[in-house]
Formats: sequence, C-alpha cells, structure tokens
Amino acid sequence: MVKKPADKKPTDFKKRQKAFFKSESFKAVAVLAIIALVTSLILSVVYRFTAIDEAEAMRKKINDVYNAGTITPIDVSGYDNKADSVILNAFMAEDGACVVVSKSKKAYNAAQGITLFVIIKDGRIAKVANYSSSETPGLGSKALEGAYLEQYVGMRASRLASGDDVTSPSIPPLDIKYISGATKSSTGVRIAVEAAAAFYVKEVAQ
Amino acid sequence: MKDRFKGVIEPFSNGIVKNNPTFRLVLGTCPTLAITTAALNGLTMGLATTFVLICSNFLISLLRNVIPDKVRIPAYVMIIAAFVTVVDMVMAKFLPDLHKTLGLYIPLIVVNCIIMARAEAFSNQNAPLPSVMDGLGTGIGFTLALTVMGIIREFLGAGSFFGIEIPYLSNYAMTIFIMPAGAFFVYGFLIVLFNAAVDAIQKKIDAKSAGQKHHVLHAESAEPEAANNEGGAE
Repeated sequence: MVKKPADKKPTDFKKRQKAFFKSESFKAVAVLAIIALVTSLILSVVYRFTAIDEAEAMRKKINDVYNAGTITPIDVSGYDNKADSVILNAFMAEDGACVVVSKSKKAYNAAQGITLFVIIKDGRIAKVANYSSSETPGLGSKALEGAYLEQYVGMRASRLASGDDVTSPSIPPLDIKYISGATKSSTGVRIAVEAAAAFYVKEVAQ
Repeated sequence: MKDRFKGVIEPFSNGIVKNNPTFRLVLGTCPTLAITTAALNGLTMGLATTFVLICSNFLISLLRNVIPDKVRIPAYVMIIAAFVTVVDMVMAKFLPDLHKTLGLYIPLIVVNCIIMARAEAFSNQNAPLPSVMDGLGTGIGFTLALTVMGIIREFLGAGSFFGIEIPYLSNYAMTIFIMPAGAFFVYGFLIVLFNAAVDAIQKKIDAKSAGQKHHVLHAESAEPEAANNEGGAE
C-alpha cells in the first residue's frame, strides 16, 4: 500500500515541533522571557509603593522653607528664560509672596545644576533656599547654606533682574560675595537668583 | 558538619579581608573614587551594592541549574538590573537627597564588576546559602572600604565627620582631598596599608602553622628513635 504524501506532512511537522521545543535555543529564549516577566512583575509592585508625586513633594518642600499656606501655581510654560537658567515652577502664596523655583545650569556639578527656591515679597527678596544640588561637600555646598544665601535677602528684585548690565554711575554695582574656591557654585547661585528676580519682574510684578 | 559550617563562613570572611573587592582585588574603582567625597555617600553606596549583591547572588545560585550556559550573562544582567532598579526607586522615594547626590552611580551598579564577578565566579557554582554569605561578605568589605575612604576624605578635605562640622578643623581643611586627585592619593595609601597589614597577618599565621607542622613531624620522628632506644636498653 502506497502512503499518501498528505499523511506524511503532519507527522514531520509534529516531529519538528517536538524537536524545536526540546532545542537549546528554545530553552534559552524561554528562560530569558520568564526572568524578564518575573522581574517586570517585581518592579511594577515596587513602583506602586515608591511612585513619587513630584508636585506634592515640591509643595511640601516649599512649606518647609516658607510658611506659605495655600499656594496657587503660576503658568511658566510661555516664559522666555534668561541665559543659563530655567524657571521650573512658580507659585503665588496666600500672603502675596511669590515662590519661584529657579534652576541654574551653571554649577560645579553642571549635570545636576543648582535649583533654588527664591521667595520674593513686595518686590524684594524675602528668602533664598536650596532645593536640589550636588555641589562638593564642604566647598561648593557652602554656597548653598543659609549663611551665604542670606546676602540676597532684602535686595530689590528689579535691581537683581538687570544684574551687572546696569552701567549708570548713579546706580551702585551689586554687592554679591563669592566663596573663594567655590566660584562656580557661587556663580550658579547668583544666576538662579537673578533668573527668579527677572521672572518676578516680567511676569508677576507687571 | 565542621566542613559545612566552614563552607558557609569562609566566603563571608574572605569577602571582607582576603578577597576584599576594593583593596585586594581593585574592583569597582569607579564608584570608589567618585562618590567617596563624604562618609555618608560611601556608606549608602556600599549598602546599596550589598543589597544587590545578596539578592542577585541568591537568585543566580537558585537558578544556576535552570539558566542555559549560552545565555547566562544576559540572564545575570537582567537579574542584577532588576534589583538595582528596586534600590533606585526605594532611594528616590525615601532618601531623595542622597539619591540626588549619588545620581548616576546608583543605576551604574548594574555594570559594577564586583557583582558580575561574584555571580560568575561563585554563585554560578555554589548553593544559595554560601552564595548569600559570599554576597554579604563582599558587600560588607566594599561598604567598609568606601566608608573608610569617605571618612578620611571628608575629615581632611572638609573638616567634618558624617556631615557634622568639626570646630576649628573646617577652617584648615585641605580641599584637595575631596577633589579627584585626593581620591587617588587616599585610595593608593589605603591599598598599601591594607595589603601590608593582611600580608603581615598571613605570614604570622603561616609561620605558626608551619611551626605546628614541624613540631608534629619532630614528634613523629622522635617516637621511633625513642622506641629504638628503649629496644636497645633491653
């Protein structure tokens, strides 16, 4: 009796299928896929417990620095940033103070930059505090301490906004001290404060 | 029973002293030099690496008979990367300031050669418990090395200890120690010191055991002589 070719095909296919499932390549792919699946599951569970609400974290930090009460966000999306700086966020506090989250791209650790909270009230700097930075401990970090940032308190936002561009002899130059050995960090702080002041003058005071 | 106990304890002690990854094997040099500007940075980085080492060693050892030899490296990388991501997410949530300071060096634990070396050299061939002990020992060895380096650099370069400023000393801090050049200087100095101390201890142990061996051999060779003498007397 002669076998039909149609009967032979499925047997071959089944054999090949069996061989494929037993092959080293299939085992390797299957093991890698299972490991990837299990690790993804573990990571998704961890993410559920560690996800960060950035806006909430920032509000909390602002309240730690300045007792602002309820704060209302100000739209910063259309703002034309000054050179080497970015205004990340701005809020209006209940007492009329403006909280500006200003980042300087110039810093000793330029990848991280220097981000400051600059609180401006009635046209003058009310407080400057560090939000995030990664300057050298004991050196650049001194430029982010309260004692150094204090020098900006009381300065007029309009004067800071123009920085050293003012050439009129009747207006005295800005008296801003730099920390010796931490010039990059000190410059970064100044850029962030001046950018915040410029934002305030352009977008809030007017 | 004694051999089994030794098989679990030995990998632990080896990781701290004999095979200390930083001072003896000179592995993981990049984070060692880069993040030890402060003691707390070194300690945190060490603890993060220890967690990844223990978990990855355990899982790799558990799956050592399942993972095909051809794809073992991608499988290890996936397992290590998962645990590093867990550390990264947990640190970002609960230690945000330290997470920002350590920055890129946390994700870079994935390619830390200490972890890959222990996976390939130890947990790939041993049972889960010795592998966990090996991870713990190596991790503690790495943490101690980073913390000691951080303490020295912070003390000399910033005049502080774990972020607490030491009065008067901070005015005389030698900034070079928290700069990259200072990192190489302290690292080299500690390698010399550590290796000299370990080698001296090892020599003492070898001399002691050689002395004991000699004593045993002497006693063994003295016994037939005594027997001969006794025989002669008879």
